Amino acid sequence: MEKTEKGKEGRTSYFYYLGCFDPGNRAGCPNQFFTGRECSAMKKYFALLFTLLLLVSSAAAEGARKLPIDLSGGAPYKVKYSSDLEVYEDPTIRVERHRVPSKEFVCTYYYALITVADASQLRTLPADNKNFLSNTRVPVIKMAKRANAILAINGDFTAAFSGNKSNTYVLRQGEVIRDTVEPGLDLLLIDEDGDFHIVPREEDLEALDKTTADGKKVINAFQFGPALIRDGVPADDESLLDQSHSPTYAGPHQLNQRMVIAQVGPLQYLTVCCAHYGATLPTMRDIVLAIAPECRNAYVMDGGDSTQMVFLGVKINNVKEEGGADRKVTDIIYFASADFED
Amino acid sequence: MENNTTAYSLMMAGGLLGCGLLAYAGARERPGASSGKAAALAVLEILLGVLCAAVCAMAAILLIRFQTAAAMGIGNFIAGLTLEDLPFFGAVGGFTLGVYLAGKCMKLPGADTLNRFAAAGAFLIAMARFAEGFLGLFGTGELPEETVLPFPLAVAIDFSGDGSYVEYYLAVFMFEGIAALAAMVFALRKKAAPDTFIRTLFYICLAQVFFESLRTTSIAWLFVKVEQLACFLYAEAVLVWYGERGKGLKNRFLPAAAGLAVCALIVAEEFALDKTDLPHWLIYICMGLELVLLGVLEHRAHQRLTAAKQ
Repeated sequence: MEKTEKGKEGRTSYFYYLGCFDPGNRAGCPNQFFTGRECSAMKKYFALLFTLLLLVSSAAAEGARKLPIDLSGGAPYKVKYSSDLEVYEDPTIRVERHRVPSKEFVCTYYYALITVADASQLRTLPADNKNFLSNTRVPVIKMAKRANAILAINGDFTAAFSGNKSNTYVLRQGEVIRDTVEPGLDLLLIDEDGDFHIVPREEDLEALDKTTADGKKVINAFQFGPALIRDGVPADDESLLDQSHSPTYAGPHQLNQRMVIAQVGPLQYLTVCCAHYGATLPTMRDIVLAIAPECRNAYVMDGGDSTQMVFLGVKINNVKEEGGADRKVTDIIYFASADFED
Repeated sequence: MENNTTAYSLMMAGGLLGCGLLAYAGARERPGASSGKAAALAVLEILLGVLCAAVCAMAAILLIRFQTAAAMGIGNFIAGLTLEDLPFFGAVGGFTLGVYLAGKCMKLPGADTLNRFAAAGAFLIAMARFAEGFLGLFGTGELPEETVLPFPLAVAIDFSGDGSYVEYYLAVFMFEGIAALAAMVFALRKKAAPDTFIRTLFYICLAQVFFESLRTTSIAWLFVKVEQLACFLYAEAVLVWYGERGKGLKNRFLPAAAGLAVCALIVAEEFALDKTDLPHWLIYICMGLELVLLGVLEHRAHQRLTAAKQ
């Protein structure tokens, strides 16, 4: 079922009652029957209820466990993909996906809202399952299936070795893979609690300790960018459109496909991409804000033909005609279930 | 999905042994060559070949990734290299240099030494390619989803460790190995005729331009694959050299011009593979035909050169 921009269809998710994931409503509560104060109270009530439910169900789930910080995958799929399946949920993860043809942003965008029980369920994988800097490239769908990813997106094309991507910092699954930095690009650090920390390019990235953030161990780090939103503050147009703040060939002012990963709350994430006619970086920022006005950090990953979002082993954005093949990439970011049966 | 380094090493050792025996047979055919001298030459060719191949392959990757190597520190960069990081053209170029130096050490003409080594070299390339079958995804190519083909067309790679999740990949390493064996047969038939070495390598490079495009693992700058570029540069250099040698012949630079046209077409085809939805099989048929045409043009150009010389 396709969800319209107005968000009238399929609004069964409790996320919508929190008022922070409504594309058509940036500031207020989507439910017009309540006053602002009532709405605010409801938000808190539902947030508390949701957290309690998640905790209780997580604790009750037999076999639910923290995934190891390595290159292994998640728990095997329990359901098969179907085109009308919009929500996947088990005691350790909830993924809700949408396709929104937008007149306001003059593009169709795809997004997924993900809630995990543990930060270890936000993971990364290289194309050859061994080395993040290898010259191997395969489509996202293959890596996603190997890892039993509930939702997977392309990463930052770690092993690009072209233009200003040659020396970007690479830390994946708790291991520093390449300890160099590209001084012109923002850095995204994801710590052991699954929290995002965006280090702006203006800081001395080389001298910075990139293996810890706020005293917590960094599990994954990416250098693509730029940051669309940092610590709740949206980036301005001028900064986003400056080519020197983006990887070579990213063309921030052009209508390109783009992939964005964002944190919208503790262990709550958003991935957004736009369809093949593309969007500029300021438009992508506005799309993220429309979906999640309270988003704290949003960061751009590789785009163009690399833009691939895979749900339960099936690509859900820009599905190619028969004969067309998906771009081969070097790495993915994915969200896995930890709900093992044994 | 771990590399089987033991099997890989054994296969490479077998390849070097076979290469040594073929090199010995080639050297033994030289008029007046004693068996002792032929054996010494074969051993020296292998030793210097392996040494130079390792050095040149590392030098090649250092040049290709210079920006990264400079940032990481050359020592750190080299320490982090794996077998899969080393470019094949660097190793082949290095081995060629080693064989040439071995001939010079034995006070033998370099071109003749290389011509007599051509079949042995092609055999070693074939074994090195077949051995890639033990390196996981390294020597394989992408297959469309759900396509299952038997070996030797494809290989099944088990990513789960218990057979519960298997992906099928095109066995490009087998095709590359078979192409190198075909080149070996060509070299054996030509024996030590002039230009045997450069022609054998020409055909291997021509085939590699095609096969490199199929590989999932390839050193690349955006959609430009470095191995393809190196192989093409070599092939084009041979065709230009033929043109230079054919003074007085009509259309002597036609093969070289055709080479440039094929290069432009292949760049466009690589772009189409990456950026368009054109069926890949159609693009690969076009690419294959263009490379076959280039091979035919080389063969005819060489025939004309030989006829003009006589």
